[in-house]
Amino acid sequence: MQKTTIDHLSDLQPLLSLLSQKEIQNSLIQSLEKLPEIVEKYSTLERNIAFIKSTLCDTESMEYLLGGLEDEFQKYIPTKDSLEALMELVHKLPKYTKYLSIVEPIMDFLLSISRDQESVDYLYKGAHELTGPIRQKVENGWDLIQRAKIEADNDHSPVTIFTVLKLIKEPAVQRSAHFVKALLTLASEPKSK
Amino acid sequence: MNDLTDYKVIIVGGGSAGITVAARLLKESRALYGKIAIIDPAEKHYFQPLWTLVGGGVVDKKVTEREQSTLIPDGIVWIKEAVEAFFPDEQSIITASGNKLSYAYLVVAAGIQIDWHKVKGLKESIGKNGVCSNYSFDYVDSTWENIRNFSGGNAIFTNPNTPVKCGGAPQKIMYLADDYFRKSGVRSNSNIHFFSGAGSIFGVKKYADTLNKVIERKEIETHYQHNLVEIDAQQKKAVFQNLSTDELLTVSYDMIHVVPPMSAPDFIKNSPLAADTGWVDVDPYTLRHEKYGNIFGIGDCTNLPTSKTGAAIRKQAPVLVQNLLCLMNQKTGLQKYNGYTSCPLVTGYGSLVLAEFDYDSKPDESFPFDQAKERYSMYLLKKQVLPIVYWNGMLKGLL
Repeated sequence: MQKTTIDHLSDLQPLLSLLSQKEIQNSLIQSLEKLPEIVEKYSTLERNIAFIKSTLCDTESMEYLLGGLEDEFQKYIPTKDSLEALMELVHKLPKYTKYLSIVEPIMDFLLSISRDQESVDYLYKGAHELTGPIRQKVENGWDLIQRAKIEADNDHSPVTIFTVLKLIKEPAVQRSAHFVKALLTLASEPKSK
Repeated sequence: MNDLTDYKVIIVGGGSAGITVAARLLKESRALYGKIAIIDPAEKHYFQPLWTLVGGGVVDKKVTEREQSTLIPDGIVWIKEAVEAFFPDEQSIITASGNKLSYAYLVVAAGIQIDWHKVKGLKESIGKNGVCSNYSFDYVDSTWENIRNFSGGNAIFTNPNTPVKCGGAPQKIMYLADDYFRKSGVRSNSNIHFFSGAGSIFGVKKYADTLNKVIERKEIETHYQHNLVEIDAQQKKAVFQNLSTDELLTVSYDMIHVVPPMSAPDFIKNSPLAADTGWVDVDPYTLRHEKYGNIFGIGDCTNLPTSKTGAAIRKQAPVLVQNLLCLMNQKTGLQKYNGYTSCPLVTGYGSLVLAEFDYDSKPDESFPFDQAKERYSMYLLKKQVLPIVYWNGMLKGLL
């Protein structure tokens, strides 16, 4: 027996009841608004799947792809030696970890100093003070040499035997001569024995 | 502003001990990031061991001071307040502004209190008119001023009959002063006196032997068991009590370097955490409180029977941290502190005896040579190396 319009309407009653709800109506409107975007994304996905399928079915393309990858990764394929080295490294890891745990705070400490300008300035100042006397002696010595050079350049008087005799009597020359004499004596001692 | 009132660990005190413990805790357990609070109202932090050399005119006091904010480790909450009271049964403390803070674990690192007021006339006269002390950033310059301008007479150096921070400091400045007086040519018309509340120059024989030779060489007059009780700044007289006979001895001075009496901070003395002596009552080996199992103490505020020094804190901190973490993680294997402490005893410009010893007053030395001998290398260590180790090693939880 054919359904009447009233029968159809009564079948649709639950649906109509649902559609009469405001929330459902709003959701339907939102879904319809998003439909073009969904369709576009589905089309893109369909195209990508088609491309992958086509590539997988194309033997030449697959050989090219996999061959290229093999070339790139050839150098990374572990050999027997590298696997042995890896095992040894793993075996020694506890020892290396122990060493690292000793070194790590020292490295952190040195890094901390390098980043602390006040500490660097303090150390520099201290080093400067410490080397002050040595630097002063070097500067004085150099100064003396420079002044002596200038005086020598300005002294045009002839050097006679008397000049040399006077020079020999200088305490500094005497001391130097004694030193050289002692040095030579001591140096020749093992030879005479 | 931090609105947290509940912390996993609260550390009372942001001095050497507090910051070192905080840094070490974070290094050992990143899970504690943001869960540890340091409570300290001070905005400046000082490397106090160098004040001996400031008072001796060797170092500028500015290098001993840094902003506290630059030293608080990242991940630690700094609450810039003073602690008012402890409620260990409720696991909470109250700050000076009335805030209640709760903790699961508490570390008390409050330092030592300087009691200037306990010597009559001292508080009013410190830093003026020949009265000086290395025990305050504000007054340490006055020590150098007095030494530099000393033109002869009586130079007095005191040591109280209370525990002090850095037990060697009272005599170190005296040896430097003697050196300077000889350099400036006033030593022959000066008398140097050491008035000490202790019974001898040093508690460890090996180093005491060297120091007694130094005293003899420098012609210093020592007066043991004599405690400073009054300063009459007008008359330039100091009054000492003989601790054996209770007699009072009045001595004139032209300059006087005072080491003031010290004690546990009042907020600790008056708390349930204190032993009868007023110090935080902790186990000498594990640093755990004798009564409250989730409380630890470290440094100068505790009743640990060793000299109160920064070097001691450097050895106490890793023990405390490991024991606290064991407790937190319910593990066994508590570590023990052996009482190690160290006193770099400056005996002149360019010489130092590096004393290191333990609870039994037995030497516990770091170097493979006789540290009882006065050495220039050890002086350099104190002057150049230790400050760097402090700022960049100890306070970062690294060394």
